[in-house]
Amino acid sequence: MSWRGRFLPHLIFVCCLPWWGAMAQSLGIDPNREIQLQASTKQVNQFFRRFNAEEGPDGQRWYLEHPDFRSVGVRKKYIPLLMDKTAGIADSLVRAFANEATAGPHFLSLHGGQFLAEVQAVFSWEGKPDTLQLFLTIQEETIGSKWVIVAAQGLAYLAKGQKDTGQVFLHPMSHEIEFMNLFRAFQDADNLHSYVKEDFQPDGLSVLWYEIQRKRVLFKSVVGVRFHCLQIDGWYFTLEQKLRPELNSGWLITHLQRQLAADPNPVHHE
Amino acid sequence: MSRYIMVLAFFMGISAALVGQEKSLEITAQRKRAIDSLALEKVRDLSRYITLVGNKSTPFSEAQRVIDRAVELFSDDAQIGVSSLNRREIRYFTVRRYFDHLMALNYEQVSVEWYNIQYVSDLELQPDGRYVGVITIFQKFTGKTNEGLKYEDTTKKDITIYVEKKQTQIGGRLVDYWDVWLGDVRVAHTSK
Repeated sequence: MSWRGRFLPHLIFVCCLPWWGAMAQSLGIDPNREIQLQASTKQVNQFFRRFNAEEGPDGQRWYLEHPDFRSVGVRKKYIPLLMDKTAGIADSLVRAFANEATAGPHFLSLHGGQFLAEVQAVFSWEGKPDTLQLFLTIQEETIGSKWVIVAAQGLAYLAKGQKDTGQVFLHPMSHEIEFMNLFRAFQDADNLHSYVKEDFQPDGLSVLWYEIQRKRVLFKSVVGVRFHCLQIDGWYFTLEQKLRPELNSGWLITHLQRQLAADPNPVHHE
Repeated sequence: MSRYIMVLAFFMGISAALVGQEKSLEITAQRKRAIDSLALEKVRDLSRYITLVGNKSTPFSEAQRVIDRAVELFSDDAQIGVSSLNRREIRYFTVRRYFDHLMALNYEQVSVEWYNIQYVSDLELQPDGRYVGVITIFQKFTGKTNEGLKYEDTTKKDITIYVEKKQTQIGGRLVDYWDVWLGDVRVAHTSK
């Protein structure tokens, strides 16, 4: 049977509409809203399934034995639907992405590596709120796996005093006085950057670790999550949840770009 | 030489044990479907309890009994994290506090309805040997005040489910079964 013969009879927006309509009416809720929710990509897991053509348009999980499991034709239909229509991603770019992603065995997986979670989290630092970005990846364990924090960025107080003014420093003969002038560096928190190597960046995760241990920092809340994916060769995209009453909603690609050889990790350039 | 063989045998033993452990924890597609329906049954129970507690005509004592039953569906440390369209920050509640809050809502009439949509994720193996998954459901809430003001929202509920293989003795024989219970729930408003 052709792709159209198998796929089209299941198309959510056309064939299931009367059934959903009847069901929704019996529950006294808006049938159109229910169709939107059915179309919405409700979990990252569903994003993977749809991207890989591992589920049918009716939401049923497809396994290896299903004739359309990971079918190129179905994937080419699904992938453009997984773009955030408000993100302004060019159609030509989406077509190129869909063609290249389906040209070989490029499938997304939680365990495929190159999949980074960025979590916006609010902490209270001595009573003052500060929003940080935590980066997490999946770590495989002897049994199963878990998410682990790999970096923390955006600590507001670390960004202070990061300019070397050229006015303060450890002079080049400090070694002759056994660096006794170090006291000057450590009394001058605002100019600390002048006393460390020029490319030094404070490691946010170590600072957070230390402050949490000292109980000077309290976790308050998560305020946002997005994912950075580099699993498709030559491409980078971000994935975010768009909660809105539309068909094009849920977990969607909000940024898509070709990854150049000289730009191995676009995450760091944002 | 004998020491080398002993070390090799030791590592082979560990590998075999781990492979055996992984194998015994494997879930087939058929088993997954059975676990999904068990988990959905628990989620349906939770939905029913939310509807009952939200209903203003449910007597106080009955609502308290329902809350006790709802709490039993969850792991002890489960939290319910709620955010709204205007307030991205998540507020955390214990299951009991969430239900108490629902019961205390200041509306004359409350209606809690459920969309006929459920999404059940794949199950992922955790380092402790249990499986974890997430079931997503959608709820429509309508509240009317004495003055006739109406509040309406639709929330997405992402409910953690834990699945563990256990054994029980039936007629002197050890029988395997899969136990399912609920964990943290993320509640996000999708529209007014």
